[in-house]
Parts: sequence; C-alpha cells; structure tokens
Amino acid sequence: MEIFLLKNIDNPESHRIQVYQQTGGYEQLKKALSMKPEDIIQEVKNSGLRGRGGAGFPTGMKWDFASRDPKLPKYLVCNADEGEPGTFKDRPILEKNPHLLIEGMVISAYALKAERGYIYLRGEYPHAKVVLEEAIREAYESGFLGQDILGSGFSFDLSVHQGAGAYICGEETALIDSLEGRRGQPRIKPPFPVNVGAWGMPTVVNNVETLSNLPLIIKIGAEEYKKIGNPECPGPKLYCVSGMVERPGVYELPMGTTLKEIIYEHCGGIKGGGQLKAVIPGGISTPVLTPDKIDVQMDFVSLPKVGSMLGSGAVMVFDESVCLVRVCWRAIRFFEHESCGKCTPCREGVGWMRTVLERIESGFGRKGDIELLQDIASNITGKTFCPLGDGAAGVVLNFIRNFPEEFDYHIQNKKCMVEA
Amino acid sequence: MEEIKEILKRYPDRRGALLPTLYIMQREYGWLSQEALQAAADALNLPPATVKGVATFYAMYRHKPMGRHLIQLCTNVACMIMGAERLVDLLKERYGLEPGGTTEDGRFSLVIMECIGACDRAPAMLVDTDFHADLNEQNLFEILEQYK
Amino acid sequence: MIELTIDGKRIEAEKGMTILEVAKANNIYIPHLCWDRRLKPYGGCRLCLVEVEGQRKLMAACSTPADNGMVIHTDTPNLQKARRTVLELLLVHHPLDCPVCDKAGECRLQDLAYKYGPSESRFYAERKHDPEATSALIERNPNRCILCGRCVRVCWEHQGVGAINFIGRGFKTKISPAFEETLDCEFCGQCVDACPVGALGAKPYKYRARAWFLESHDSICPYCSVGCTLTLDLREGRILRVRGVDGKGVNDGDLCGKGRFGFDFIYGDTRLKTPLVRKAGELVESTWEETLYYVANRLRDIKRQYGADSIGAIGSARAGIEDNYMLKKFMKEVIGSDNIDTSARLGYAWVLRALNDTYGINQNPIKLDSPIGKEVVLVLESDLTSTHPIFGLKFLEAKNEGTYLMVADPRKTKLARRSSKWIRIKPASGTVFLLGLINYAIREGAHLREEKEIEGIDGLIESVKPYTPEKVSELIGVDTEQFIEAASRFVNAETRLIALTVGAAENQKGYETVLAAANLLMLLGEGPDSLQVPSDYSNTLGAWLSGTRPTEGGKDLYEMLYNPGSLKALYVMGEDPLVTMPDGNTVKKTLEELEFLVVQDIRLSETAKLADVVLPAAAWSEKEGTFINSQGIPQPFPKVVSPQGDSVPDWQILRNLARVMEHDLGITELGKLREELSRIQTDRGQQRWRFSPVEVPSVAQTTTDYPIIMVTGNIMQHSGALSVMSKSLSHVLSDAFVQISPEDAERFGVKDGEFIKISSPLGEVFIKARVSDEIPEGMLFVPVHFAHARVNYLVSHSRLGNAHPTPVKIESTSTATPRR
Repeated sequence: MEIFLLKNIDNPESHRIQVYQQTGGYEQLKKALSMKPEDIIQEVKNSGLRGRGGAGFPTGMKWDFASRDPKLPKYLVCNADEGEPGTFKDRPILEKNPHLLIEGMVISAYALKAERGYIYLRGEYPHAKVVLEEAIREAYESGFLGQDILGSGFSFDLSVHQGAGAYICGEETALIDSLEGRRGQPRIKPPFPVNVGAWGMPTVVNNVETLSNLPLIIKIGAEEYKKIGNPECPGPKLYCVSGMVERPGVYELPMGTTLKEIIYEHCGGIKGGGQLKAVIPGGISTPVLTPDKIDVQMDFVSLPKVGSMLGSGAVMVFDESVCLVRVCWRAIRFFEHESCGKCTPCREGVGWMRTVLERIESGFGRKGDIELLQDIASNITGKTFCPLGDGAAGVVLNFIRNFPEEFDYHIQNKKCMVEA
Repeated sequence: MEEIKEILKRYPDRRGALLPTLYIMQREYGWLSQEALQAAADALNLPPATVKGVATFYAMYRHKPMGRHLIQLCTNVACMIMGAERLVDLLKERYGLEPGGTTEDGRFSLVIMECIGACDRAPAMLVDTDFHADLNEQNLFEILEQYK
Repeated sequence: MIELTIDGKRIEAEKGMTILEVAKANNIYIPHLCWDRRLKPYGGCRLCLVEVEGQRKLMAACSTPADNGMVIHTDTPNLQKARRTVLELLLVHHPLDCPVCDKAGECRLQDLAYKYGPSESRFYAERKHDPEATSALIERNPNRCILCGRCVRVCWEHQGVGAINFIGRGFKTKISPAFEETLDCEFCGQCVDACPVGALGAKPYKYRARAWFLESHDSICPYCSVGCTLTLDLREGRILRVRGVDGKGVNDGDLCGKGRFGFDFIYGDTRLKTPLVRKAGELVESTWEETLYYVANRLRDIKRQYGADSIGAIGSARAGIEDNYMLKKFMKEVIGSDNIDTSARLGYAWVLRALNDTYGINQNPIKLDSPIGKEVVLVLESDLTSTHPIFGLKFLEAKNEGTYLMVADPRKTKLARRSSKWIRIKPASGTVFLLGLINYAIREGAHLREEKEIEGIDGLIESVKPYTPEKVSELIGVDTEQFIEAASRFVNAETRLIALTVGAAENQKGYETVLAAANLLMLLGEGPDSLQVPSDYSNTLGAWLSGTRPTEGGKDLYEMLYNPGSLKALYVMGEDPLVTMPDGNTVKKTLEELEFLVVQDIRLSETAKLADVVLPAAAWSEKEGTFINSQGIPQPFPKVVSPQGDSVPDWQILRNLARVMEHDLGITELGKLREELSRIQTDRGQQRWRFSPVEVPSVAQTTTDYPIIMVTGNIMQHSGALSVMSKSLSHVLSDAFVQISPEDAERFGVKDGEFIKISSPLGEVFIKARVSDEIPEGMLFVPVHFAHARVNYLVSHSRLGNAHPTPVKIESTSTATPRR
C-alpha cells in the first residue's frame, strides 16, 4: 500500500507548504472546490470512512446530520487532543504533515458549509502548536484559508485552540465546553453536537487522522478507497505501538492488519526476544488481550469479536517482565487524576478502586479485595455520566478477568509475581 | 491586551478566549496568581470564581510559583514500564526535587504528567516547551544540565 | 402528547419533558440530589437512574427526554443496588455529624441513606476536615458538601452572579469563592435553599432549632412589590428563618436576600413598645388611654380653630390595605378631610399619569413573565435585580432563553453585566435615549406601518425632530454607530419590551421617561403590556387602590409636605418623609411648623423624633393584612407572632382613636373592614391611544460649580428605610456610602474609604466614598437607605414629576472643613 498519511515525514522540511505542494498537496482541495458540497458528503458516505478517534462512528453520517441542520454558522473542530495513554498516532501528522490536516479540514468545511474551524490541540504538544500555527499562516498566505478560497467564493477561518491538560476533553462534548472557555465536562446528549454544539450551533468534531483521510478520498474516489483494508471499515490506519517491542512507533497500514503482524513483522517482535504476556490493542481504556487472542484483525468490527476494541489504535505490548497489577494500578491512577468530578460513581468510585489496587500492589491486599474491586467496578459500569468511568471500570474488570493469578499472588504472597 | 484583543477575534464570545487568556496570564505572571486570574476575569468580563474554576480544572495551569525551568515528566503506563519511576526517584536524590515541588535554588520544578504522547520513545519529558525522549539514568541529567 | 409506561402505569405526557418531570407530575418517586427545576439538567449525582426497556445502560431520569412508548422501571433490585452504591460512596467522606448539623431532619442525603441504607461503608477513609467558612449571612461547611453543584449553578445560571464555583477537578474538587476568601456576594441565599445537605446554611439560623420542632406559615414579603411568598419557620413564637418553597407563590420558590434574611426587622432594637407623648420638649412614655385622649383633643381643637382642611395624613406603602383604608376612612369620616396621600405621589403616581396621558388607562399591572420570549428587551436606567429582585431574575432567564437583553444605564448593574448589549449612557439621559429611538423609528417609517392613525402623531414627529442619532448619541455619550445599531435592533424586532422603575428614591427618571417610552411603544404598535413599570414597595399599589390619596380635591403630598404652613396637623402612618423624600430641608421645615404631628410607626423614625405623639404600631407578621403586589394581586398575610410591647395594628389604633373621638366607624373587626374594601371599585380606564410629546426633557446639566451628577436609588440588600432595622441585612451593609468612579476619585483626590463632602445648592453631607468602576466618570451613586447620611437633603423635587438629577460638587475631607 502506498503511504499517504505519513508521506514525506522523513523529509526534515515536510511541514513546509512548498514540500507539501511539490508532492501534490492542496491539489485535492482544488478538485473538491469544483464539486458540490453534498456530493463530497455522499462520497465520504460511500467511502465507508469511520472516525479514527476511538468510537468509529461513520464520518459521512455525522456530516449528513450536521449538514441537514439549517442553523448557521456551523463549526468544524479538529480533535487533536489524543490523550488516551499509549496514543501518539496523530502526532506525526500534527508535527510533520500539518498541511495534510489543513487541506482535509478545508475540504471538510467546504462540504459542511462551515466557515469557522478550530484545531483543539492538546496542551502537551507545544511543538505541534508552533508547527500548526506556522502552517496555518502559510496556508492563509497561499489563499488556502481565509476569504474566497481559490476564487470559489467559499471562506474558512482556522485557528489552533490549545487545551491545557484534561483527558476528558478528548470526549467531543467536553472538548466543545473547553473550546467555549468552560470546565471541560461532558454535556448531556441529546442534543448532539451536530445540532447543538459549539456556542449552540451545529458542530462537527473529527479526529486528526479522520480529517487527514479526506484528501485521499477526494483523490482516489470512494470506490478505490474502499479497496484499502477491511471493506467493512476501509482505509489506511495509523497504529501506534509502544511497550516491549523491538521497534515501537507509528505505522500506517491497511485497516484490519492483524495484531500479530503488527507486533511480529512491523515492530520486529518482542523486545530482546521476550515472551508476550498481554497486549492492549487500542489505548488504555480498551480491554487487555491475552497472547492467544492476537491473531485478530485490528479494526472496528474484528476486535469486538475477541472482547476488545480498536479505540485509537494504540497498541501497548507487555512481556513477562511487566507486573500487570502495577499496570492496572497506574492506569486507574490516571483515570482518578482525569475524572472531571461531575458524577458520583466516577469521582468517588475510581478513587476507591485506586486505593484498593494500591494496597494490593504494595503488599497490603486483603482477602476479598478482588471481589470488592469487581463490585465497585460493576457499580460504575453503565452508571456514570460519560464513558470515562466505564473505561476505568473496564480496565479493572478485564485485568482481573484475564490475569486473576497475578492479583491472587499479590494478595497471598504480599509481593509481585514478576519480582519473584 | 493587544494579544488578547487578537485572540478575541477568533471566538464568537469573550468567554471563548478564556483558555488562551489564561496561558497569556501564566506567561506574564509566571503562574496564575490571584492577580493574574483577576486580570483574566477583568479582560473577559467574567466573575473571578468562573475564571478560577476553569483554571483549576486543567492540569497545565500553574497555581503556585514555578522554578525557572519546568520539568514535565511522564510516568503513565508506557513510560512507567520503561523506568520513568526510577527517574522520579533520581530527581529527588540528585536535586531534592519532589513531584509538584521546586528545587531550593528555584532552578527546576517537577510536574508528573499523564501521557505526553511519546510512548514509542519512553520515558519522555518536556522541559519548558522542549521535548526529550528515550530518557535513561544517564542522559536525564546530561539534558537537564543544559538548563541553567 | 406522548404515552409511556412508568412502573406499569400508563401515562400521558407533553413531548419535551424529561422522565423525571413526567414522574414528578404523576407522583412517582425517583430519588435525586442534583436536580433543580430552575436549572439545566446536570446528571451528576446518578441517583435518578432508571431502567428503560430496550436500553442497555441505565438512564438518568433528570436528563433523558421521555419518549413515546417508553417502558420505564424506577425501582428494581438493580437500581436499588446502584443507588446504594452511590450513597455508600457519598457517605465515605461525608461527616456523620448529623447531631450538630442544622440540616438534620430535612437533609436529602440523610433521608436517602435512611431509605436505601447501608448503615456502614466498606470503605474506610479519613473524613474531610476543612475549616468551616463563615460570612455575613451564609455559613459554608465544605466537609458536608457532596458536589451536586446546585449552589454553583443557581448562583451563576439562575442569579447571574457566579460568586462560587467548582475549584479543582475530580475527587479534589471543592466549592468555594475564587480565592477561598470570605463570601462577599449579593447574599440572596438561593444557594442555601438549593443545598440538599448541610454544606450551606443561613448564619442567623445556625444552632437555633432542630428542623422537626419548627412550625411553618406562609406569608407575603414586606419589602418590594413583587410580593413573594415567604415560608416562615418559627419556634416558640419567634421567626427563625425564611425559605422559598418550590411551587409556592408568584416567586415559585425564589427569594432575594431581603426576603430571606430581612424578616428580623421586626426584632429591631428601635421598635416602639409604648406610646410616646412630647412633654416639656421630650418624648416620654405614656399609656394608650392617655395618649389617645390627648391626640383626640388636639385634633378636635385644631379642626375647630383652623378647619378640617388644616389636617392631613400620610399613609404607608408598607402597611396593608386594611390599615391604609382605615386611615382614609378616619380622615374622611372623623376629621372630614380629603388631605391624604402616600409616597406613591413622588413616583408611581407619575407612572399612572403618563399611562393615562398616552394609553388612556389608569392601571398597568406588570406581568412577572413578561420578558420571557421577547425578541428584544430594553431595561432603562433601572437596577431591577436590586429593586425587584425576583422580577429581575426573569430578565436573566429571558436572556438565557435567547432574548436580546439591552441595558441602557450608566451603572454597571448586574443586568448590564449579563446583558447582550450594555449601552453606557450618561446619568439621567434615559429619556433622551428614548426620544432618539422615536426619531429613529420615524426615519425608518415605523409610524407608517400601523393601519390606524394615532392621535397626535404630527406633534410627536415635530417634537423629536431635534433628536437625530448624531445629536442623541452626543447627549447620551455613546458612539453614533453604537446608538444606531441598538436603535435598529429595537425598532426592527418582532416583539419587544421596555422595563424601568420610577420611584420616590430615584431621581434620574420620571413622568417624562414613561411618557417617552409609551410614545415609542405606541409608535411601534405595542400596547401597554410592553411597558413594564413595577410599583415600588410591598403595598405601594395597594395603598393607591384602597384610596389612600386625595379623591375629592384634597391636598396631595406635594402640598402637604413642600408648602410649609399649609397644614396645622399631620398624621403620619408608617412613613418616614424626613429620610425617604427629597428636599429634606423643606420637609423638615414643614414638619417643624406644624402645630401637631402624630407619627404612627413600628419604630422611632427620624420623623417620629419630631412628633408630638408617637404611636407604636404592630409590625408585619404581628398582624394580619393584605398587600397588593405589582401584578395587581391582593395577597393576604397572616399574624404569626405576638406584637412587641403594647403595639397595636394600625387599623385598630385608628378604630380606637375614632372611638375616643366618639365616632363609630362601623368597623369592629378585620372581616368587616375587608368587606368594605372589597366593595371599592377602581376605574381601570379604557385604552384610547394618543401621543403625548415630551416637551422639554430634562438633561442633567452640570455647572462649573457643581460638575458631577448625583443619582440616588436602592441597592440590592436594602429597601427604602425599612431594611436598615434588620440586623441580618445590616451585617452585609449598615453604613452609608457613595460610589465614585476611579477617574473622578483621581481627579478630586478621593481615596477609597475616606469621607467626602458632597454639596448641592440645597445643602451638604459627609459620606464615605467607595471607588468603583460600576459607575462612570461624572457621576455619583448614593443609596437612600441610611437616615444619618441625609442624602435626600441634597436632592430637589419636581412637581412636574420629571427626573431631577442632582448636580453636586465633592471635596475630599483632607481638603474640606468638616462640619462642626
């Protein structure tokens, strides 16, 4: 497969508009501007593109909802707040291929008739902010942003909105609250952002990678696009692999490449020839898999069949040297830190799970603690305001379900199986 | 103020500019002191409690004075399994620097981060706005010695 | 309509209601802690989770819209378990200090824990022990807080204040003012009523009574003319606190600080307990019998010597209609005089006059909900959220629901801060602003839109010719562009409203302002419903409607008080003209020249200090009565406590006096009085529109000697001269002050907190200065509530009912010579 999303990134000047344009950049925008907006939306629907942020919602459908809402103005917001631990797939686009994203955004905005856009960039990426702002400046200078883009009569303004360290703002309604200058807490749905979003107006929030697929869809058309990867959810996919592999990093592969292929072929296998113990396929919130499950296609439809999810495509690989109780504890500490505090089960319950895990991990676990954890977790699942609490509870339940012996060992022996 | 005026143009209402305004105040005042928050409230016609509520929601705003250089070290899962916690211990041993604290000479402050998106090159940190990865017990201090 | 099933019961509901609302309407109990009818659904506490068939997840009833065909279960074992867990988690850190918590017995958390259990938690943790935070009227106990956020949301969403907020995130979140400072807000206390637990409480109520010993009575607020229903909680015959209760009264549960905390004026130190009679220059205590005979004799003598027309009376905007009617009856039947009036003469009477001169009507009750749903609302130089707080809330609510709220005011009032557009006009230039709008509307051809022609259109067109946008923007001190933008929005709206207050305490608006507003609205085809001018106080309208004014050619307030020598005797009931009315010097002179002054009041007022006889009246709550609120609704209030000392209800004093004067008024008891009152017919007038041009609008003129305009008015925590008797309200503010802009402070060398001398051609006063950006350069704002400040001595009055802003000069006391 031809590399598209990460094209040119080995070129140190890849972020400059000249480099981007030399290899066909912004040509798709010209093509798109000659199309009717509704035809672009239809093309995106036909392409089968699904959101790359984690939920995998069909992008064309989201756009359709927003474009049917008569209210104006409409907003297009790029979700560049990849805060899910283990995730760094958007970073190469943001830092090294920013014009691909900008081109994708202008095409999307044109299709949606949105005249204002924001890139909600996580505060933890200060370098990306510099790169993006420079790229936006270049794009304005070249007439790809601003008034009457390329003489089409269509205008679009774009700026970077820097987040300030809140995982929850990756959730689209919390992101909108944060964009509006509020505490980034999720909103009640319905209404959905496509109808009542930023400043009460129809708003489309799409992930960086999703928007970066737009030039490709325009370039090759929906039919060709559908031939890439799994036809049920096609397209190129960025997989970011970390942990105990020989070559961690971001890989652009056809959607549906197996987890086994990613780990053992693209990433060169387990670090130092070690033994695989567990793997999280899509970021910390997605259920952990045991080694027997890794012959699975990494896409939105296959992973649920083995009890997990694609999430952000953030693969975290753990070998025999890693204590999974500690991983579980650290993950829950993260969720506790990131809980917004709005709803009771998440605010209070996640803290309790962390407390219990902490005592197990540090050798003070009590008999019944595992059952207690399972009970709290099951009383969080499905009862919180937003999926953050579900994510936290899921981590606890899945780690215990898949690796009960490690937890038991900790409680019975007051120490770690790995150290032993 | 000119800068805030420019930022205000990007948003349909004044409140939209709150996050960027807080960053500006943090840069100007060093941290979000009462004075800094009040200035943000005045600039955007918001009650101070609203501004403080927003400022304290986000982890990257500072609510006490910081050292000259801010170390933001990730210890989330990917960095943890690659030894980030050992680095935290070393910072304490070498500089007497505790998470959330500042060295006595005011040179460094340390904040523990929740995933800075550098898991493939873990452990990683930001020093001010500079990114450093593939850290280990040796290069950590070689890097930090460049910050005076 | 939709149909759904809750717990097996088929229910019909309106589309758009939430599951919780439907359940509530059908008396189906779903527990909740964070929900509040007035606020947007929050979905935080997770107690209201319900099972909806076909939904994988449990749904929060407070934030899930009810849908056709839904089958809902509100009380399954699964839900009970979920609720038990939520309560278990909340109780981990919540202190179990119920024995010393004022909320015990009416605490929602306590009730829910009782209902669902468990008695113990599986989690052990140190309970929070943050220090309690006190303030003038509100106690915060952060340890008891369960972070439901109702206080934060009611303060910001509903009150538009934002004094407190969630600070921090997640488990560490706390609710506090911005800098953990002492709460310094409006002290409306809405957060106290909203708090489901004991985290927020009314300070005056702290440790006063267990909830289960309280006895509750509903009453009507004695302060402003909104007429809120107060729920009085008593123990052992003493009112301990006041609450607003959801669903009760015109306020539907909302209360302002005056209503909630100001009830204790009846326990004020200055209450009169016995009659006083001046003997050898001193007021000395006397018996009722002796006093009434004395009064009777003096009145009889004066009547004999100078005629009945030499005796006058002033009624009260705070006393019930029964009391006022009795005064009128006494004057008419016993004295034989029609010389009677109230403070309404200085304000509300002019509103009615202006309405009559334009719409042809004699009454125009407001509608509290009038701003809701209007496209544009203009609030003109009026601090509605201070003077009529619950009416003011409706403007915030309208704005939240999409109304364009335009505020033309030099003061940065709360409505100005929360407006869609704040036009900072010069003080007392509201009338000119309106004339400019009329001029603009005529340019836009607004007068041609209506089919029927209104009488006097030519005169109107002629009269506003000089008020071109350029001229008006210069006069009111804003950019022409800004003025035109505002004018265009107002004139071209589909629906609109103008709201303002005109009161005895305010000197920047008057007859001409209402006239201009009515002309503008008629020009745009709007009826009197679009002009909302509330009456001042609890019974300003009631006193008017019960006939407490000259109805047969008698002397009005101007003739009685501003024409020394026109009367020989004056009977003042429940009013303190020396403090509340302009041109204090003249009022004082008039009163001093009287041969006989009787003051009947609940306290020894400034006017009472000049009296020959002072009669102690029972206060609100110590007697029954009826107020007629701004909406024209008569609202009876009960007697719930015993009168202080020997005080007696006003109407009974008059009945007794009449008896002593050997006159049977035919009134033995209240029922009889009310029966007579019910027979009074008031002519509401017929709508007959005609333009009534404003001849010469007063534009505040400063001179080199008097370069600043002083504006007077009411502030949030006080109401006329009554509220200063309340200890609670005085905790918030008990001292007179004058607001001065930072620019003028600089210019005149005034430091914040120092005493400054303010002089007008009528006199001079010394008041503490508060430097504030709430007012613009060239203006002072002075609250009228504080007798010792004698602000009214500087203000002139206008017999034309026009605005009479007061040009003054100020001097820092470091340069001025203090009065000896």
